[in-house]
Amino acid sequence: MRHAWPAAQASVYTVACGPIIQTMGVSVTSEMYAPAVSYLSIKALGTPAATMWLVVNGIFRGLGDTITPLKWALVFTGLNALLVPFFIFTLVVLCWERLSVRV
Amino acid sequence: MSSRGARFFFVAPAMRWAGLVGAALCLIRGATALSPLSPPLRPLVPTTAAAPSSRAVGTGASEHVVSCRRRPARFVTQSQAASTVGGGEPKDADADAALKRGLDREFVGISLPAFVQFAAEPLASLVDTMYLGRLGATALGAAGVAISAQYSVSKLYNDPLLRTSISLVASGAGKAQASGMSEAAKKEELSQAVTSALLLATLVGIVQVRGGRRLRAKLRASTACCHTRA
Repeated sequence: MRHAWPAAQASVYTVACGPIIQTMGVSVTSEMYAPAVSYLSIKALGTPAATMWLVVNGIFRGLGDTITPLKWALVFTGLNALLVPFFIFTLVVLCWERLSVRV
Repeated sequence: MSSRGARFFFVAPAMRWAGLVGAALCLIRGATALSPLSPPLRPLVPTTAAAPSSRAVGTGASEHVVSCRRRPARFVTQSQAASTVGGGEPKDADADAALKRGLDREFVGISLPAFVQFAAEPLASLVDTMYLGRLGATALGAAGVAISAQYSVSKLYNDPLLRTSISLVASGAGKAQASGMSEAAKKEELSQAVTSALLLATLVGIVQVRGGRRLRAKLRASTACCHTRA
């Protein structure tokens, strides 16, 4: 049951991606729809890891240790700042171009 | 941007208000716990000699129950309780002051790193937004919608997860520390923590879903009105 949580989350985002975006007020005809859906479906890949991070955070905080999660959060923030340019300007732009050509 | 695309901006302030109210409640709770005006801490674990007599009197027993509810049990160890009960009044006050100082230190030691972590995590999304802005207005808007959608969906089940994991582990650690408690008191404490965590999460979920629905209905009505006029 516990191990099914992350998988269920990822599947929720990948299956219900379009409806979720529509619920937030972006219609299918909007030019934001395609990039929003692709962004959310790519972001859904990270949800299992995010859930694990959340629960581990809670366990450490429950034990009264907030310094270890802080260290790792700083490491993640630094990694994010370093890797985001690569991910956005090489990978995502490629995907986006392909998507916009198809649409 | 169309009026439909602008809708999600109306959901964000509602969530922000909920966060502000929660933060204010936390601040009030913390201030009352840390203020010098709050009553000094009493030992939670009664000595075996004192317990039957106080239960026989009746009023003493109810007092003990009230103090149990109001104070976290994990901070009072058996040795501290024994030292406070064994001595007279001045020793009692000394132990209270020492306990209070220890509590203050523990509060600050736990909360400061958590505070820095909460401040550092939005930095990551700030960096994301900074780079996404270079892709153009459409990409930035789309990413904003997607982030907001993911935030509100994940809030529904991640909050219960985080809170229950914190309280479960904290109560487990507390039980290990204050092993002088009776079995029933341990169970009661555990169930109270879990119940309050679940209740809070459910409330947050209901508020979000209802608020979102009502806003959406209102906006739909207003846009329909505009369409008919046009």
